[in-house]
Amino acid sequence: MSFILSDSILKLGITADLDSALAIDLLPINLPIHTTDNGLQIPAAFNELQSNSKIDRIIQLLKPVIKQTLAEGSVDFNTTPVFWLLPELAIEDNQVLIDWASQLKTQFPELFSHAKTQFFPFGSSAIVMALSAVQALTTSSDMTKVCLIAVDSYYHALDNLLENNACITPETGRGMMPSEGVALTCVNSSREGLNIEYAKTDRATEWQLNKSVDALLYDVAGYLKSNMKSSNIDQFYTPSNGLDNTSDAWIEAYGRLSGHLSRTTQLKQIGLLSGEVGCVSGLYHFMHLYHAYQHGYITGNTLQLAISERLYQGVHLYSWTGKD
Amino acid sequence: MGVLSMSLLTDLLAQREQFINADYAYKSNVDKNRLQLLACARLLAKKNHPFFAEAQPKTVLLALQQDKSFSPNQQFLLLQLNATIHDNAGIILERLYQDKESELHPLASKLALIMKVDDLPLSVKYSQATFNNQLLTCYYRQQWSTLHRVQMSNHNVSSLTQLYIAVLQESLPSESELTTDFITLDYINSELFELYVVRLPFEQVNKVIELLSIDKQNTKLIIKVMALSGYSQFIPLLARYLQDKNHTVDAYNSLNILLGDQLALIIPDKVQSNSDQSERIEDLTYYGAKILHLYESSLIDSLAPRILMGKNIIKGQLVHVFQFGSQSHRRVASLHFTHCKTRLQSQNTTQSPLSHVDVEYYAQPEIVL
Repeated sequence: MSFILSDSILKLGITADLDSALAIDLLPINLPIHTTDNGLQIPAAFNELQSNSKIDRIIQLLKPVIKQTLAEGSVDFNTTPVFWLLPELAIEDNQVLIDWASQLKTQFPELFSHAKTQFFPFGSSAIVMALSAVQALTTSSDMTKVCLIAVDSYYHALDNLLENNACITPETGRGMMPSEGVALTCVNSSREGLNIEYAKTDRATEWQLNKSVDALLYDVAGYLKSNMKSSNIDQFYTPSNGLDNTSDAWIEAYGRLSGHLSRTTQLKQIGLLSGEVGCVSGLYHFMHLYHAYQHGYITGNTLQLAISERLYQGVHLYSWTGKD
Repeated sequence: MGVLSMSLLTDLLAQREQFINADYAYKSNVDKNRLQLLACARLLAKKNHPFFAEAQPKTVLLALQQDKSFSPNQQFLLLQLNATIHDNAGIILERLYQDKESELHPLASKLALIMKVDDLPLSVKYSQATFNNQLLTCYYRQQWSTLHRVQMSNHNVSSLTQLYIAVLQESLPSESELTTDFITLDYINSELFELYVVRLPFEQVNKVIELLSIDKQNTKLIIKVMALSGYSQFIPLLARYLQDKNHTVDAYNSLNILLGDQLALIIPDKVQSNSDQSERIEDLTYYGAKILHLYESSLIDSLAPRILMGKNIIKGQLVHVFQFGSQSHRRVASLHFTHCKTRLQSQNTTQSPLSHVDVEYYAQPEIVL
């Protein structure tokens, strides 16, 4: 089964413009500088919003996006379920997720009219779980359209990140560019378009992460070898954000793919350009590679690896059929 | 936003021109530049940029004519960008053929070639330049019967067009005799002449060089012809030119085309890429003797009779050069492809390794998006 995307909106900290965000690897965007409360200047991409807490900020980020979608009226939320891709809110217990859920329901009741609407609190890997659910739903029912929404912000985590030397400061010299964003798109089943050739998820804590990613890439290699006509990976969307522990995991496992890489394989490290957008990155990269296929910027097979902050990992292998 | 993207677009166009014949730029650089131009044009179209958002061929061509800030080549690239994002190359082509006053009119047939749409039928009613380009398109597309028909019909055409018709046949009839025509018509610095030279056997290339050398001004071209022909027998001659400071740079470029990485084993990188030009020339002259010695002692590795980038000119090598060679190597590879007998087979494979790489691409790279 193939998918096409519609009704896309993407508002990232670095740019609120959908087209700029989708062409970020081709048309560079100036590095945004954020001044912290102590007057420290660091690369960070945040919207100008006043917020008291993370959920408060999430609601503010979502408001204009939901408003725009409802105003355009091209998505009927009575017939289209919404899959919410959220940060890893329910690892120890469900309380935070329950709080978020009730806030979202209060703020955006229109988006909860469909019975199949559900939450995927799995961070950036949630895209893999959500698309599997979309596939299951569209094959088992006559439903053809699902709306995906991802939202996250590092704004209220900034002090914490600075404390852990995770940002780029004159002292550290390297690190991530914290950001935030909202992504919304509708996945429509179709005869042509983007194909998901392979999907797999795993869970592992920080200490087991490298092993888990290694196993995922090993499985991808096995699948490519036995099931695909062309076993080459032409693009690899990595979960890079500038932090060593994120890149170490896939760099160490990269050798697993050796038989499927060529001199022309491109590494797409979108996170280094857009900044870390948390759980939005899974959906954002998915939209980015869809757009690239659609316009003929990329061809062949594309691998997407997502590593959530705390527990989940996922891979997707894509190809494209039909119009470009 | 609009202003920003437009200045970016101008920068990208300037960057392209730098890449065209450079030996430091590779396919990946050019591909990236192309995708950036496309992304930029799409973004501008979305923001209602008056040129890129416009899908009416008539208005598009008029806008190009009125804007004097771009060179004709750049205008032609902008036209291709517009045709790509609106996916209407066919209509633009028809309109361009009607637009006889346009500076771009002679390039109409090139548009068909590059955008992979059917060309309009050949017609001597078009200007000479337009018609000659139509003949080239037929040649690149191996439409031998059409070319044969043109040859047979007794149209009253210019002597230059007659030369085009004579050269662009499936088999070259009168070989080096055509060189005299090229010289008389002052057409030796042309795409047609290059297409002609790469098809000649060694003895004929020698005759061409002999004829060219009557005029001292042609030395630069002779050095280029040696590289285009690919015959490794020219290496000692090029080594001697390397020793002559007036021709060192040209001889170096030609040796680099022929030998590629092999040259790096002979001349240190430090010398090859010295940014002080007079020092570089001075140093390079000393390596002429070394190359002569290595050649005469058969110490240059695996030297086939006809080489490009150090290897025998066969289809596999040409494909390799096209994928991984520098821009200057890729250009020569494309010229060889036009006469390479194996070309027909390569076209039949479904996923040709040469997509967006097609031979047509490079014979005149400055106008290909």
